[in-house]
Amino acid sequence: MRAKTVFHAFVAPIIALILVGCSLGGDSSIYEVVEPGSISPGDAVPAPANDVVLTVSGDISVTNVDDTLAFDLDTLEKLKLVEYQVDDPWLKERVTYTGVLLSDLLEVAGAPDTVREVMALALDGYAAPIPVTELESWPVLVATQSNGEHMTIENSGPTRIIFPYDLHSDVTAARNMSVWNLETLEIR
Amino acid sequence: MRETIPPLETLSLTRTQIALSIGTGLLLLLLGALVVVGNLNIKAANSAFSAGYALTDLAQIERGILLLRIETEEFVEYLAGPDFRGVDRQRALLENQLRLAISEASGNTRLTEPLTDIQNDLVEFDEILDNLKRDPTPGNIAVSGLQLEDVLNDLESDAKFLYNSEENRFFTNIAAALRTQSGYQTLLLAMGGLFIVFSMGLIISLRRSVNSELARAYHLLEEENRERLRLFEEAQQARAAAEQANHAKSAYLASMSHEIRTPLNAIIGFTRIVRRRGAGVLPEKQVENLDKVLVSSEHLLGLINTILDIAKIESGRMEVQPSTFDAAKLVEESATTVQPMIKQGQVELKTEIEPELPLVFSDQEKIRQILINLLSNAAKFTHQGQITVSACHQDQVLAISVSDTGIGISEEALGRIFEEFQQANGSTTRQEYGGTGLGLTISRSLAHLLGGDITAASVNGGGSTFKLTVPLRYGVGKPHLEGGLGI
Repeated sequence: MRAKTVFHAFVAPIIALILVGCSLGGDSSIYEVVEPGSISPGDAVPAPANDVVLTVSGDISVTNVDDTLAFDLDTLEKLKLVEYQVDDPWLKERVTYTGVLLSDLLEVAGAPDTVREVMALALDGYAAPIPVTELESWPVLVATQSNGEHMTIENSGPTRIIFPYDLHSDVTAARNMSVWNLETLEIR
Repeated sequence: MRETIPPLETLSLTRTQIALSIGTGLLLLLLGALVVVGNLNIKAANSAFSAGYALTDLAQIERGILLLRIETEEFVEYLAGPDFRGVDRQRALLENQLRLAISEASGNTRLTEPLTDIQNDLVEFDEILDNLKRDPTPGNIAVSGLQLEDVLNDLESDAKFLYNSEENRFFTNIAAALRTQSGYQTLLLAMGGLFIVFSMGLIISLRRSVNSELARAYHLLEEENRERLRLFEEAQQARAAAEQANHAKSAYLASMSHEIRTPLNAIIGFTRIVRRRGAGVLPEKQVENLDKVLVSSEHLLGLINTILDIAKIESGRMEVQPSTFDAAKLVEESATTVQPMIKQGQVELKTEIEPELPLVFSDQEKIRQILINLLSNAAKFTHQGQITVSACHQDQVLAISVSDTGIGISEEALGRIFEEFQQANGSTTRQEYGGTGLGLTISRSLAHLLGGDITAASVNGGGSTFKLTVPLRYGVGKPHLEGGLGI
């Protein structure tokens, strides 16, 4: 227990700093950029033309459906697309997840710096808050593909939250925040 | 014969201390092992908690089945028109839940088997639903709706049973883990307590043995001290015995005085007769020889008299014969007596006598003897300058001092000039100045006999002052000494 606390207190922030440093350098060893993407922060996001796979609501300045920002799969994947491999704790195998960084998504949605957390809500009613500090420490992914395939509801899709479970300091917390069958992200 | 005190660092451990040390060490090892086991224990407890994941999954599945039932019922009872989307979505979500739960529980047949059963039951659900999709007529909806409800009821009870049994198991596990943990904590506490007791015991025992070692050392020291005291007492006894022997010897010498002096007086007397009668008859050379015999004999008689005086004092036979006399007159007479010994023209002898000096009641002859001794010493050691003899009185004490400008006495020698056969410069003084080395000893003994004392003050090369103090009235007030030499 104590060892873990020490780890939390000292080692985790150091790793986090290293990771942040890596991602800032754009030469991350955790994820690879698949597509630079055509939608950048500050750009307008087109209204969904197909089935909505993700809705962003709450404290945002960029909207396209009422006061929410709704994405169909094509539009969502027009953000910078990245991918990394994890040891999937449920499937118990190595899986490559592809998607957009939750931090990028927040920037595109025009969320202010005062944001504290993102509430992730699932189709089946499951909900988990993700503190912003997690996004600063880890490349939290809103995944649209697993092993290069788009995900059906039966396969935890259409979108789901993915953490780098192999590296995260608190796998339990990371697992709890890994909402599958993701429906809505409420910024607050 | 005497035990030497061992240095404390060679302290040897007693059997108890060794046992305590081993016990403490073992307890320390045990504590270490317990900490390791405790970590495993905590891990076990953690894994028991993490089994809660399965519980969450099962709850989600149970909830998923409930939601599927609601969607199905809504569809069957209220929806007009073949809209299967709600049911399909809920069915997909449930399928996802089941798939992930089975995958996560892989290897754990306790969970995978009932979950797979649920999955298989859902296949039946799917078949009925497919049939309904093909023939969404109200009649079929009514019939299939009931069938679906049956399947869902089964699913629901299976899921509930699975959840409940798993929940029981979870809480049992948690309780066991907590029990084990608390048992472990109790054990750790007990071991810790034992460890403290053992180490305290060891410390106390070590301290006690250090203390006993100190006590032994102290005891030995005490014994040594006692031994020293005994030796000291022995030495004192030996000294007392020696003093007694000396006293006896002095008494013998004193009693022999007459016998010694009688033949010597005979030698001197008859030598004088021979010399007187042989004058003009005997050859000049033989008369000179007779003179040498006489001088030597008289010198010998002087030495013997001095020795016998000491013997007399030591044996306590010297008696004080007090009388009333004029001390001023005594001082003048003594000065006159030693006048011939003074180096004429070079040394001046002066007397300074207090005009109001009262009559003295003491042994006049003994005071005279002391004065002559002091004055003759001064005359002997003063080559130029002056010798002053002064007399005064204060508080019923007569004080006569003899000061000279002679060679003086070194501070080191000043301490022992009153001892027997001691002269200021042991080897040379006697050769240069003669004397037995008993003069001052006798003088001080006589002063003591009269209840007084002689003190000396001097600067080496700067003259000396000897001061005689005696009570104005002998026997009045506390005499300085009962008698005897007091050395």
